[in-house]
Amino acid sequence: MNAPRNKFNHAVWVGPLIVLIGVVTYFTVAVRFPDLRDSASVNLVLVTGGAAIAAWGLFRRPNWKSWIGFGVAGSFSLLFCWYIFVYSSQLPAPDTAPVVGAAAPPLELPDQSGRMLSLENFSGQRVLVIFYRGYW
Amino acid sequence: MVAVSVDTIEDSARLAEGLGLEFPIMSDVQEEAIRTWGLVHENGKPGGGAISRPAIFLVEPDGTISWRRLTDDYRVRLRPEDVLELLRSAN
Repeated sequence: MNAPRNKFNHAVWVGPLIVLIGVVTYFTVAVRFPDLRDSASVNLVLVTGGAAIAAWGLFRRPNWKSWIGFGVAGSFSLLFCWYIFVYSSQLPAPDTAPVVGAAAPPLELPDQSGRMLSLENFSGQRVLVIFYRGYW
Repeated sequence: MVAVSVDTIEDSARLAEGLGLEFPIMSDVQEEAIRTWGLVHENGKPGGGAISRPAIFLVEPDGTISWRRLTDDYRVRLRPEDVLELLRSAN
């Protein structure tokens, strides 16, 4: 509250910047490390910390620049928290997925070279079947 | 070991080449397998379209499923070392 009038309020841009770094590094860096990906701990600290800094900047000097900084930091951090805690767990119930002990449903599809492949190609062997979301 | 996704053969080939993968990556563009296996995540693809939810099954030589892992949160997935541990303990 007692910040000198002529000093620039750095919290206005530092806060949103930390939030954006937190969001971007989740999808570019943290996803490569299972612990950081699953818990998102480091990124949640960055994102909430950045929003807190922006809030502090607004409290210190409530002008239009501070409101913009707080708006950007606050909305991106809320969006990130929503993604981490809500969106990514909105998967449909796997009620019809085969259970342990059941017969594996048929699986016959082309592989990456275009050759048709099915579970029968692995007769006599155990097969680990990995379904994944895709590569885009 | 086989992997399955709804990607095209070309995308799977690109992925296999980029990562140096030597196991088959099956292309389920028509969403047949993910429907028969009950793993469809409607509109899961950015921009719309069905994709598979992440899931791993171990199929025995007699065709029964002896182990499976699904996830409730697609960010949180089974780790390679957990799969290796499972295969070691199952032998």
